[in-house]
Amino acid sequence: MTTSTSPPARPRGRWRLPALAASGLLTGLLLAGGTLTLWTADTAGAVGTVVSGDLRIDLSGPPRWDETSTDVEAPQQDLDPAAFLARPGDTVELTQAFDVALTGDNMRAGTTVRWSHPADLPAGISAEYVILDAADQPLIPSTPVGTQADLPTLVSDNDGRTEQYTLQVALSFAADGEDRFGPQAPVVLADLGTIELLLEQIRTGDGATP
Amino acid sequence: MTRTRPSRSAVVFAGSLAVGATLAIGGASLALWSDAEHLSGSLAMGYERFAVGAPGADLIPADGGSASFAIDGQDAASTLATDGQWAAAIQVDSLSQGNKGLHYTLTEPDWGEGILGAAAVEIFWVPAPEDCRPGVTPTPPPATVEDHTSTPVPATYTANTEAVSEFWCIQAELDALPGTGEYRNLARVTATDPSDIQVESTDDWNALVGSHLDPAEEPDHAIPFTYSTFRPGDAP
Repeated sequence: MTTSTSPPARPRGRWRLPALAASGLLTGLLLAGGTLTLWTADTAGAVGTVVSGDLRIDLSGPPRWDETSTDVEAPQQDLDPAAFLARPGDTVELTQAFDVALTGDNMRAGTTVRWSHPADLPAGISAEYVILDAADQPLIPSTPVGTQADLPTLVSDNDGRTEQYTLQVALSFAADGEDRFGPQAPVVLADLGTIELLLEQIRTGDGATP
Repeated sequence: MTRTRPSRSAVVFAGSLAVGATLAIGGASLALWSDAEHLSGSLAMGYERFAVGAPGADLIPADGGSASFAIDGQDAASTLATDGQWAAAIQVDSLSQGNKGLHYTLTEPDWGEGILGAAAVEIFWVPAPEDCRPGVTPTPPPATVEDHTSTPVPATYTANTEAVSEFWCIQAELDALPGTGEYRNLARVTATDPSDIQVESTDDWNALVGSHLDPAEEPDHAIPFTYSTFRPGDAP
């Protein structure tokens, strides 16, 4: 007696949908994921652990406000900006220290000073800013508040680097500026807006630009 | 009309394609790193205030660097004509915040040709409104006051909201209204009558002479005050 066996019937189309899904996913990744391809290509075949770099910007301490009016005998130091009452002829300086840290092979980064909420300076009030390095040397020329400025690009390696910068804003109330008459007069506020200190990685070369 | 439904396979493939593309685009964005910090700040401006008026009344704030104290001419002239003396106190409030001082000057007006013009009028500083009375003698003012000027607020920084109040006194004295007095006429007549007897008769009469000045015609007067603010080191 011979017994013939035949392979069991495969359910038709059982793997068809998963295959299509996988195919679609891969196609989407390939079409849109140039950068992702670079990352995987760089690390393919590597032995050991790939450690990512680091990029960080931090304010160093609270902001400091100092009166700089040259005609005032004892200008106020480290004043409370919420309590200080400026008058025409006054000059005041805001100082904010911040640190920039980079770590990583070929890490390049740029620091930008820009405004996420615009400044509002009434007529007769002006403000300019500079960024100083750790040696108190200006990295950019004096720039009107509200105008974006880019600091020199920083380059790092795996050992990393940290730079200490200082933002210095000089507020000036023109001596012939408008005065307020009485407590009922509209409030005049010199609003510096929201200053954003942005540190961004810079990459160059093919496929590096997103 | 018939409508063709996309096949199940096409739907699955398209969905997977979209998921893959989304993941990849997200991966590309994350490939560039960034970090940011934010800070904000603002400064408010202070104000100045200068107002003049009768003590205890609503003072009139200065408009454009000047204010004035109004005098009811008829009331003052009437009191002067009746009592020979009249006085009124003036309150001056000064406030200047921040690094600005305040200085002011009052100017004695031309009192005109009326009753106040005929009186001896003097304006001087007094420590309090009750020190302003008819016939009072002026007291020495503080160092911040000189003649008709004062610097009540120095240019040193202040965040005060309370004004500095100073008081002045207008004092007038009138001995008599111009042209007033007494008139007396004395007449004596002598004659000889037909019988050759000398006769004489006398008579006299008098009158009080009033002034042509009428308190009801006294115009109102105003004492102008002008003020200015000044920075530290600047002369007021």
